[in-house]
Amino acid sequence: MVTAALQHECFRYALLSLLIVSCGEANNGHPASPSAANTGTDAGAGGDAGAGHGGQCSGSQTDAADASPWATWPMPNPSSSGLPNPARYDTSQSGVVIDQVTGLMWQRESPAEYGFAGAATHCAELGLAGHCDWRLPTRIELVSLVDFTLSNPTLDSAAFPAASGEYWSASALDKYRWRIGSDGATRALTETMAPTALARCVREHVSHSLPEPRYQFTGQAPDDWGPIAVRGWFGSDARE
Amino acid sequence: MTSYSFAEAETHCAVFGGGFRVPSMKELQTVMDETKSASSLIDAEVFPDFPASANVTFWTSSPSAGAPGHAWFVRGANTLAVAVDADPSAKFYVRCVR
Repeated sequence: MVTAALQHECFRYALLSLLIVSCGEANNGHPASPSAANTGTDAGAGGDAGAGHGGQCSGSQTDAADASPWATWPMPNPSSSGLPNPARYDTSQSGVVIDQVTGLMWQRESPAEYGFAGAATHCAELGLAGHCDWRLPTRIELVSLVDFTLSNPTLDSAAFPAASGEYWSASALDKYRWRIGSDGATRALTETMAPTALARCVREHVSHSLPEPRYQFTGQAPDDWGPIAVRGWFGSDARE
Repeated sequence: MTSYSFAEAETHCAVFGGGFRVPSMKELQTVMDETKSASSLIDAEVFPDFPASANVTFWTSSPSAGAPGHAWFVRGANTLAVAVDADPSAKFYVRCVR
């Protein structure tokens, strides 16, 4: 009897997905553009940084609003935490860090503060590691870098040079914009409250094309509950 | 949705078996929709019992390295992840993950 009850409870609460998959559909006012990633904006494999103007790119591509607001990759956990998807970084290319769990390529240095528009322009014009499709990261992309086992800065110090401050994300809530502090916290602030912040640009390096639906239901809940049990695509037993 | 102390939350997840546990602060942030207000941060069709409150706080398994005695919480309003004093007997919500 107890076991049966627990099974019901299990289904009832087996709800948290480790990952939400982008469906490439219009989503919360950010219409996804399937062609947004990696289309025509690269300077060419192995090319010099940018388009030959001191590392500057045209800045006309890769609208950050086209990026999915959801994680389209497994969420890394700090390697020392013993949790699934331990973080691994490739720093073999100059100026960039490749996250080997998320497939994202990050600008390694973020030395300057900008207003939001300036930060977006900075990324759009960035030419780095032969790529021009840099953009401001989304909230969840910035969250993927947080190492909560560290104190400020909560970033892998071998991969990212220490920099304390707040980082812009491209994600907004009404008049607020989400920012991730080097302390690891996620906050919504207006530009009036905090006019400038750091910008760490990102681009999709290895694409994860995951199928719909965003959630996978794995069981039936009690009759009064509806079909609700959920398992993440990337739960510890369900990785790629 | 029921609220739990931290120990109750850990037990609540563990009794499901199959490796269910309290999520890390990073894992829990993957189900939060930052474009929604606090009372609808989680997809209501998938997670229908989300409490309609502007001050919803969830336990995570992540202690705060920067502030001993504090833990990371995920909650609504204008912060999604925040390290605050973690009175382990205080009652908050939990979503289990595996």
